[in-house]
Amino acid sequence: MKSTIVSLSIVGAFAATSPAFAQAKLTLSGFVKESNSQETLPGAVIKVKGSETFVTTNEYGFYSLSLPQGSYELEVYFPGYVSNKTFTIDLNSSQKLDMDIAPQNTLEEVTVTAQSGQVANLRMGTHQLEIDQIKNVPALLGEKDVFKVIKLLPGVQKGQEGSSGFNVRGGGVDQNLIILDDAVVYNASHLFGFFSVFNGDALKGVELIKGGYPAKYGERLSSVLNMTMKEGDKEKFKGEYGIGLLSSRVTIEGPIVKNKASFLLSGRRTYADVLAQPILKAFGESPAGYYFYDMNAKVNYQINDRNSIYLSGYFGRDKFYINFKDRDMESSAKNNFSWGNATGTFRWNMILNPKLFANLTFNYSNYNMSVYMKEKFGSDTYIMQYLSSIDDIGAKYDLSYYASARHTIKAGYKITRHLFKPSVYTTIENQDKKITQADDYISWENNLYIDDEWKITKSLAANLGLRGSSFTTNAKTYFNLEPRASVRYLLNDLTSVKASYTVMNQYMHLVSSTGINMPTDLWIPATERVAPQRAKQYSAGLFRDLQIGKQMFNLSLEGYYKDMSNIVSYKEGASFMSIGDPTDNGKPITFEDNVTSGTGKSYGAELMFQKQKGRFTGWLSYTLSWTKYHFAEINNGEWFYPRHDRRHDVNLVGFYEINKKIRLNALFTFATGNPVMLPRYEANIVGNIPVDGNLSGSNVYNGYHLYTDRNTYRTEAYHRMDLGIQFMKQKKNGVRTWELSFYNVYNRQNPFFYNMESSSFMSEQKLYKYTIFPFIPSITYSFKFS
Amino acid sequence: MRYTVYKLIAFLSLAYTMSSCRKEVTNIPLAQADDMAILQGYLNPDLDTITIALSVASGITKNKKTITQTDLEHAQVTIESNGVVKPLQFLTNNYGLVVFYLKRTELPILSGSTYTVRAKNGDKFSMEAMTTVPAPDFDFSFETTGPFHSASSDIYRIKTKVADIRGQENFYRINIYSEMPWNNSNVAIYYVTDDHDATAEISTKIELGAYAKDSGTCTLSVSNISEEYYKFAESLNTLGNTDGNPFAEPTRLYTNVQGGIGILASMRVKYKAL
Repeated sequence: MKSTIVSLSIVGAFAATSPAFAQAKLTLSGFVKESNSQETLPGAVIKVKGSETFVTTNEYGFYSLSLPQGSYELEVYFPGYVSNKTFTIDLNSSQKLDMDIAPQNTLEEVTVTAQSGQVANLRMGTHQLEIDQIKNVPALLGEKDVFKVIKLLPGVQKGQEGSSGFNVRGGGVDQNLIILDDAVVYNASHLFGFFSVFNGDALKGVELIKGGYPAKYGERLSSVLNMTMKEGDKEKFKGEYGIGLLSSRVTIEGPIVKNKASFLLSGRRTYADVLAQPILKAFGESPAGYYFYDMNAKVNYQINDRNSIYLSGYFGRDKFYINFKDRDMESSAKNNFSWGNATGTFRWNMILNPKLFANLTFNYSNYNMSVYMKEKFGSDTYIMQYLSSIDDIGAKYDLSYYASARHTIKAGYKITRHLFKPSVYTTIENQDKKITQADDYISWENNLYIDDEWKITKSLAANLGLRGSSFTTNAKTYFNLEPRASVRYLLNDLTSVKASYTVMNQYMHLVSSTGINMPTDLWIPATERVAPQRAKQYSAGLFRDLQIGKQMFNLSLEGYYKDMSNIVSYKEGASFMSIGDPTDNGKPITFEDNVTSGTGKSYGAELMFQKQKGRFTGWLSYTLSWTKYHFAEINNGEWFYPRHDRRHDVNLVGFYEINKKIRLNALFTFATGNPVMLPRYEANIVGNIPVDGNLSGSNVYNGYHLYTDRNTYRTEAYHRMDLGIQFMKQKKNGVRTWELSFYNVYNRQNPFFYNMESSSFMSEQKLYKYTIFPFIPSITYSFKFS
Repeated sequence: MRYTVYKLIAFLSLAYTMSSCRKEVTNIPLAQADDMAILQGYLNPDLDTITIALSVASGITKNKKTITQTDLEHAQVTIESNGVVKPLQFLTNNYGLVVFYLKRTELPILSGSTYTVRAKNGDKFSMEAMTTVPAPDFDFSFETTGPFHSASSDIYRIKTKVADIRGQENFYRINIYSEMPWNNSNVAIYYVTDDHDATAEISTKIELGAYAKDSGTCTLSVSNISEEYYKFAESLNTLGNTDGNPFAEPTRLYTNVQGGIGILASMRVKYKAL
């Protein structure tokens, strides 16, 4: 820790005294944008041709380069965009240059001219996904899903079959920080985890960070999934709609004031419930159904060359309902179960001077789950409502200072107020209203960071950072320091090696007693009795661009070791159903009574082999990993493999554009089985214990399933192949696409869960495997208009 | 609320199951599981007989060693306290529950005393468990309000207050027993505990159906139970509630029996008519 502070001091001193800094230099700054829509492109690499000087655009697409007076050719690299375009500039004074690049047309000849961004970039353990790739990957029922694509990357373990939850480098699903335009999304799943809440049509960028985190990022142990919404086309109106088997979606965007202000609106909704109603009515069944919807909206306004403001929001909800009415008995009942997220972000980008970029953000995030029941019998009415929620409101201020060609210093401060309401229970019985509420928790989280991206020599670069955080719940305050260090050494133009060390803290825990994403999963804060989670991660890797003929490939090989402490799990026998239940009798049970803290370790190696340009693109990823947990109060204190531990994980993804009208997409995924716990005994036990303790007249209940060692059974391997074919046609007003998707083409019966059952009364118990997704074809129609 | 969520989970499990394809798995790569013996005993100073029950937990995957009902019936069961050892006699085999007994006159059960029960049968099983009987210093009162009308049924609310023992964590079972002509049963069972050292009184609220309350046959009892009793009963409840739910976090049954599984517990019980 001390050494990190010393390093940072040295950095500052070096920056002030180095000859390069002292030499008079001019500043070239601006934004990298998409040529048509004028959307800014974060993470683009700008390289000065013929030199080792490069800079990466920040998360708002801004860059700043310090260069001596002269003429320069600049190359811009961004995944999925044309990379052989150069910008020539005569730099006689500090000036602003916005660079527009166009999305790659795969059918054009590609000239391989330079190394890709991954070799030069200081960051490791990071993947930037192209939205087109997300939209082209064949999907279950044609529903394009960010999470399904993330699970095809190395280091990301699959969860349950069909589930959108994911585990990164051995971490739990709660250890992923999922942010949309700087606002945290707490429950990112629709339909009990089968689909994610993110609509690809509204997204501009998706970045997954698994390790080597810059100091800017924290709050979770295992990953940051940073998603940014499109800002809306500043030049012309355009849009897209799609009709699928499960849902339909529509997106429109366009200028409000040309080249100054624009908007984006996007929404989708499922309609199985609407289609089912006539059938239910015809058969005299009660109205019942399920649907989900989500909406994204964003407006932005460029006040002047130096200031822009953005306002964005997301709102999505799932609802399950069943109603009942009996006219003869004069009775009726309404039951709803719903859950959803709402987020809002206001952002103000400021270019304070060509070397100093600032961003001020205010954000709001809410997740809530409610159960509503209303029963009516004659004149009597009974209403019950149960609500559980988490509310965040926060602000942050980030600064990027491009001090010199060698140093980019970033610093910032973030404050968040978390309000946890584990349960509010309301009953209304004939106007008699009663509210019972479990204790609320109000927590304040503060984060302060600074880091320096330091190009030490031509080949050697480092990112040194320090993050400080505090978290206060009730009377307890935690303070933690998180040092971050990454180094990159260029072996040659096409090869680099990188290493990193990071410390992360997590002050929030997700308690869940199920293996799937349930809306009832509860977020709770670190308290006096439940300490924050902490992880140290060491990683190292080799990155290489391979040129084979005219084709360019990217190869990365990374290894990691992660130590986790104070990770949280339910105690054996504990149940989330009793947490904060106000109808419980006696002492209220808090989550702290039901959870226990332990340690974990995860280690492994990841390989990614990717082709990003040309008619054929795609990647091969392979992960070899081990994850083990240890809790003194679980499994008799013995180490065990958690459910998401998988030894091997292989993914092969390919896209092939036959011509401008037809595109083929395919994926194959394989993962070794995950460990689960199966009952080992069927026991005869006196379940109804006599109040006086006299067992002479008692009966046994035959059939209690008893468990012994945790997760000793490993399920069979998971594998499947999906295929898709897209037919595009240019129409008068746009491009229409028919897409046929074939999920699980060879009808592999992958395990969803296992259960021990008797095939008939009193017969021997046998193990049964349940599968849910056989071969499923689907068709989707979409139209892009402009 | 708890039951609403249980119903919801049950519904979801059913929905998942209905939409799933089911296939038997053979050649399960698990270590073989031998049968294990189960011991259950609840010592009560006010009862004239000590009863200890034995039963079997059958290994699911191709067990090598089996324990039969005859093996249980021929077990040697003893109880020991302060160096005095008494054998228990076989009483009955009630559909798999083999019960042994000892008259209280042979070995009184006393508050504050520790008892050890052993049950063995050659190399089939050998179990041992221990319990200390809780002190008798507690009392309780209750008040009844209602009936309250609801759309489904009329209910009464029974508020019970237990005068507690200070300076220690106490565990209780609150029970309502109904002796209606068509059914004698426990209509409400709650297991509660108090804050360690903090409160001297705990309060519970029980909702009782009017049909049971108005029958005039209900008895409210409060048992001061040992900690192991509480842990066993709670884990047994959770096990029962989550059994068959493949998504629930697996629950291990609490046991204080060495060489087997089960519970040897003790309690004091007080009764009041409702």
